[in-house]
Amino acid sequence: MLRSIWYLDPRLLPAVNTDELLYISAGSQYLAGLQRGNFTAFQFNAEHPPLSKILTALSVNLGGYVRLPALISMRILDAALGALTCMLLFVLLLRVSRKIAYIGWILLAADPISIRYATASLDVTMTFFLMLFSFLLVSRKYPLAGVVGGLATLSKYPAIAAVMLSALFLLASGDVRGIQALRRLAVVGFPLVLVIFIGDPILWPSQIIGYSGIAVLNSATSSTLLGGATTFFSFLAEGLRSSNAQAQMNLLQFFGLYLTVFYFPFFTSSYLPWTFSASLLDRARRRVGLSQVETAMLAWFCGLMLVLWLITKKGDYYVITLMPPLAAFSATSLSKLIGTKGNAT
Amino acid sequence: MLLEFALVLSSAVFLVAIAKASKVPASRLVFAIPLTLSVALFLDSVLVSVYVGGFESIVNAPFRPANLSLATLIFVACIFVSSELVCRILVIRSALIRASPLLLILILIMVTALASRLA
Repeated sequence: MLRSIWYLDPRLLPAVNTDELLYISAGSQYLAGLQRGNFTAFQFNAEHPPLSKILTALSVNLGGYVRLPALISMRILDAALGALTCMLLFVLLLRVSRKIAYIGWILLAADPISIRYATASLDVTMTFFLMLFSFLLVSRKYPLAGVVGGLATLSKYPAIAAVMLSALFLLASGDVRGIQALRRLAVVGFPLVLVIFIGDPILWPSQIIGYSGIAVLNSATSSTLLGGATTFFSFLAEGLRSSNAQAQMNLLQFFGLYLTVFYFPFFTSSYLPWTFSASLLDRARRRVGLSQVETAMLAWFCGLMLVLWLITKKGDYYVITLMPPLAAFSATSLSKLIGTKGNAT
Repeated sequence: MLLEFALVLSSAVFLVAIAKASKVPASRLVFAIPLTLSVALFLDSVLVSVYVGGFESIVNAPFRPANLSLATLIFVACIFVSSELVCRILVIRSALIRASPLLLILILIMVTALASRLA
């Protein structure tokens, strides 16, 4: 319904994306492979980790019992995870204040771009686990936070940047220093690494899975990224190596543009970037420090922003993973605005 | 290769030296760098989408050095503005931390050099 209102689109359900069909197929193959102990299935769509696709396959299997079409089952799971992300943000912001929690929840729940791309299965799952990770980290449940951080990474690889930065900054700016902070970091990091390696067969030794997982991962990643380059620094290397003057100029231009031009058109697709910008200006004016919740949210934002800047593949829907931090910050500043107006009247 | 590693190492030492000299906690200073860059990219996306017409239109256009120059100018301006914002957000009062945009550019150049050798 919200989708129809925001986009003046009479269709309640969005058009089918080829990725959706791909993930349903990949998830089913992974599940079948796991049941038979045959890991060759994981070579299919190896550029993404398997967790989100396996969850999709489980959802499709469950939906099959009540004769739901596979696509609908998948979208029900994505919608549920998206809604749970909003609830988790509410619970996290309750640690600051009830008013901020309500504002944050409303801002994220009604965010047009999150609704529009609610079918971006991997990103939705990653965002949900990142939200849970932030909540556990702020609640000081470190080992569990490490496990959930691993699950976020198993949903989509860029999550690792947000997880690592959140853990580093929250622990570094916490109440402990030196060896104690390092110990705490290890308590988060050990389960994180363990879950990633256990949960992703492509990272297992070739003696177990019967092929070189890393080679498959490299090959799959290269085929989906622009010019086979993972980061835009490859354009510079290629440009410097090239003996053809025209090719050299084109490659160096590409490097320069990727370096300096950030691609997200999300300022025209959502109100959250605007409210976040206003929030940053407001904070700069008031010169107030960051709470633990805000530090975790800002580290999440920084980690993903930097990864999405570096990688050469650019998708409009990637931006939905940045929305919970933007909503959290916007809520804090908006609550001050509403409070001031209330006092004035 | 050794030269690039030496440069990266010296930038880390430089970072610690700034932290010591400005009496800013190292954790806050380390936070300032990715935050400055992230906010700069965020601001960059507004200006580029409003004034230049978006990433795709630039990349798909025939090569025009003016595009790149304008993009670079906007990017550097965003880094300076976001550095000021981040200093205020993180309540960093020391004037030394204002050097962070220069440090960022220095790190970018070093990372570029390193990546070109490693690739």
